[in-house]
Amino acid sequence: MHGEPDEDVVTQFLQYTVLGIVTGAVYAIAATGLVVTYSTSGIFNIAHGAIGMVMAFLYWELRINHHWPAPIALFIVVFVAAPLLGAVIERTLMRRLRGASVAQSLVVTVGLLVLLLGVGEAIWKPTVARELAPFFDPKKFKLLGVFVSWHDAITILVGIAVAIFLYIFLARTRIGIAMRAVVDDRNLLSLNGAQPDRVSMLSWAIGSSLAAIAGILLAPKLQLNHIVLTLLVVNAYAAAMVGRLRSLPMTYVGGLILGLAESYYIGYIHLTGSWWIGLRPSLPTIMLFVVLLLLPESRLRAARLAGAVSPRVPSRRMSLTGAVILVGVAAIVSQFLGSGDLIRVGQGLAFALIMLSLVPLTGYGGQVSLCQMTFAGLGAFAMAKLGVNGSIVGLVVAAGLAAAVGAVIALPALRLQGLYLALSTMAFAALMDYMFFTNQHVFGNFGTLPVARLKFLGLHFTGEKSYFVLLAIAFAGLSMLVMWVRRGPFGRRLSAMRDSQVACATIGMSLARTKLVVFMLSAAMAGLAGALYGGLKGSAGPIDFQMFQSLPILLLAVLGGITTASGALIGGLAFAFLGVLQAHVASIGGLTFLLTGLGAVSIGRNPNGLSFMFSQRLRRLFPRFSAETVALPEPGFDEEVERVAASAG
Amino acid sequence: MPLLQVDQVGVRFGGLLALQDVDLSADEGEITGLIGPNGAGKTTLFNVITGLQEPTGGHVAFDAAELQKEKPHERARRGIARTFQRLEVFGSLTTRENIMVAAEIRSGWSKEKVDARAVTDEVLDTVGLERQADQRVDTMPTGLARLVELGRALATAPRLLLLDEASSGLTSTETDFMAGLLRRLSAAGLAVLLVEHDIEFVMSLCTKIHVLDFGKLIAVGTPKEIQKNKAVQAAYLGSEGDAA
Ligand SMILES: Nc1ncnc2c1ncn2[C@@H]1O[C@H](COP(=O)(O)OP(=O)(O)OP(=O)(O)O)[C@@H](O)[C@H]1O
Ligand SMILES: [Mg+2]
Repeated sequence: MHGEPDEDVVTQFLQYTVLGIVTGAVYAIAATGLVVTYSTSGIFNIAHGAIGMVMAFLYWELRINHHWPAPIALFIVVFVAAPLLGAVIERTLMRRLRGASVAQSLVVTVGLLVLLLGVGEAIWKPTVARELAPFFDPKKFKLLGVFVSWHDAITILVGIAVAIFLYIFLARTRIGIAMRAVVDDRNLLSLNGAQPDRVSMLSWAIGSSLAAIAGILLAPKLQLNHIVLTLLVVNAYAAAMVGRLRSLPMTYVGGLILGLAESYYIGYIHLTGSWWIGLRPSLPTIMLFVVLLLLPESRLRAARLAGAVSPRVPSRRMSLTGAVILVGVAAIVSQFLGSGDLIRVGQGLAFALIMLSLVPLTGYGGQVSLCQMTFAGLGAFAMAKLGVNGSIVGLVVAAGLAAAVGAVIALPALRLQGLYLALSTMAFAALMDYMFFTNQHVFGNFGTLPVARLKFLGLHFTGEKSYFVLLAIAFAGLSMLVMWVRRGPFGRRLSAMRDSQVACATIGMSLARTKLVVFMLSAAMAGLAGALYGGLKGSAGPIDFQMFQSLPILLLAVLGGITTASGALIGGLAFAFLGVLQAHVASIGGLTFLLTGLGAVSIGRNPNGLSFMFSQRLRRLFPRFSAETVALPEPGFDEEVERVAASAG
Repeated sequence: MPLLQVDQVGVRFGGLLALQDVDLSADEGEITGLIGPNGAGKTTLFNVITGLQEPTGGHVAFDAAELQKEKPHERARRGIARTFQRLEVFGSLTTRENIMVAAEIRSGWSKEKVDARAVTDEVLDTVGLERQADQRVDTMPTGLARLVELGRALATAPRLLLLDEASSGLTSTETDFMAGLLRRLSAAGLAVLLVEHDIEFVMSLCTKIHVLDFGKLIAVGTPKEIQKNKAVQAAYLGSEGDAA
């Protein structure tokens, strides 16, 4: 008011800069945790944010609920509980993943995320509001004309302390130096005589502590909320990507860039209009995609995967028989189910359709997507807008739109390893949650859009019974399509890509193109499934297609058996069943997450899942069919070599 | 000018110089050998030639074209094919499918018309795997799997074939078959670059042999010259077991 506008501008700028540095420090702390675990164990911990979430809640439990003094609660959480959890995770889950494919370790870490989310929601019900006050709230002091709260000052100091600790630890201590050797080249670790197990366990303990620190510092500023804190992992890996998941200093730079970008965005960019509302929380995703575009192409590695046996592809006759049986059973069952059950089982079929879209992508091609529900949402959106009156145009556009969007988001990651594609899809799903599905122009002001049921060739699938049968027909038809693809040249290419990317490249295959095509196929299928799912529900709304729905979709598809259509069917029905179970046992929040997570971390390594186990059982009962599958144990690399050597000698 | 010309190639892994200023060439219609003790850098050199490993220095030229900027699959399309020391077969596919994938990929990009089925049958015959055609490769012993890799490489219709430890894990009958096959292929104009531990195998097949030791080229010459070479004998004395 009293003139000196320049100084105000400067002060304001400084204020936003300080806030940006504060957020950046938290992102940097979280991101370094990711980098430390990834570079020493080779496993990217998607559950990193979930660990921070559980630890922030634990801190709340001790500090607020049990009135412990802050220093003691902090000590217990950061230096006891978190490292212990990290070590236990490493010992029980991650150690078994040595030599596993990117897809297998992703499934297990996604399973862990979902499990921790389930545990968090079961212990601390999401319906209860909880608050964690900033440290020393509301004390603040003035520095260079800028107000800095004590909490913010502490955050920056902790960020610096973590950097100094890691520097000293990695440069000065013996085990730290061993860890750094791994950071530089994992293969050299055992050559240097270090103990990989100890190094790996320690790195998970440290990573977990860092996640806890980040969670506790961030919760008062954002919200003590399960989802929000779990999603911290997206911000963290966007920052870590600046350091190419390896360099700790660059990771810090990444965290700061992200923090400052958010702060300046809040301070200076005031875009109005509903499309811009979601932009701020989407900044990490945007940064991730920019960084991905700038990354150099990753080197192909001759990675030997511990052999996973894929079941033999059913012949044309068998898949036709299966399809006919499925439709027949659906037609009969539809006559006996009440309309509520028709919708519930129908949902199972719709989920099965979405999971089927993962069979070519993940089951055959070995690539992982964490955004199938987002594609389904795009499909439902297209059906709502263009499938008025159940026109088939809606269905076609649903598939086309999802495929086109799929191509765009896959492109930056295609030159890179499978991990980057999976991370992009998760970031994209989060972005769509913020910017698209919650936008009032998408599903309307009332939050939902009506979605019509299909009518074509004079057939009306508007009743519950006929729609149920339609879903079964769609599943049967698309299953046959998928198996037809698998038996043809493209399917051979996919299997080849999964078995050995190096070999594919050296026989002239463009891996990027193969990945692009299969990703688009998968997105199109998910879009189509989403359109049909929307029709089943009769409407589509912002919360139907959230990112967190895509995770159980992947996990249950894997549990059912990601290499087969029957696996997708089992997975889909299981998902619907879990939904029903959850409704009955409302006292346990997050039951679906709890059970899928538990399932995924326990048998997530076997990509053949339950359907394979069932068919093995059946074959033991009816040995007549045993020629259908090549039944092998699941050998580790060394066993495999021995087995091969033995049979050669 | 030779078909493959490797010029002053160097590779560094952290502090380790896996290759230093290596020169090498391979000609059409000839079998060229590349030998050296364990860890000499043979596989690394193959990786550089096929584009799987970026060199820290030097050049690779194929058919007078500089390859530096080309990706592995682009190099393969120029006519460079290889096999792997640690097998990289498509284990979940059958022998026939392993070979067919390669032929199909070629028919996808090549301007010539490629009948993938005919090529596959022909290659199955060449490598003698007709009986195992419909067997999944992850159930096959190493020797046969090596033949599958060779067949897959041949299905790309290469001009240069890089074989990494072609005879390891093979029975003596299979080794003899492999030797005969390589002679026939090179007589038909293919350039073969052979990495081998079986010295007898190399000596009997190759017209020219390169010797690597600790990443350095220590000798080039005919089998006779190499056998007499003092530096080579010294390099191999330390690792007698491997040379056997
Ligand atoms: N990716 C890598 N990272 C670090 N060091 C590597 C890597 N690949 C190879 N090396 C090292 O480079 C050197 C050369 O290895 P290379 O595999 O090329 O030898 P080689 O001559 O093929 O040996 P062998 O006869 O055992 O197959 C070895 O010391 C090896 O440990
Ligand atoms: Mg080698």
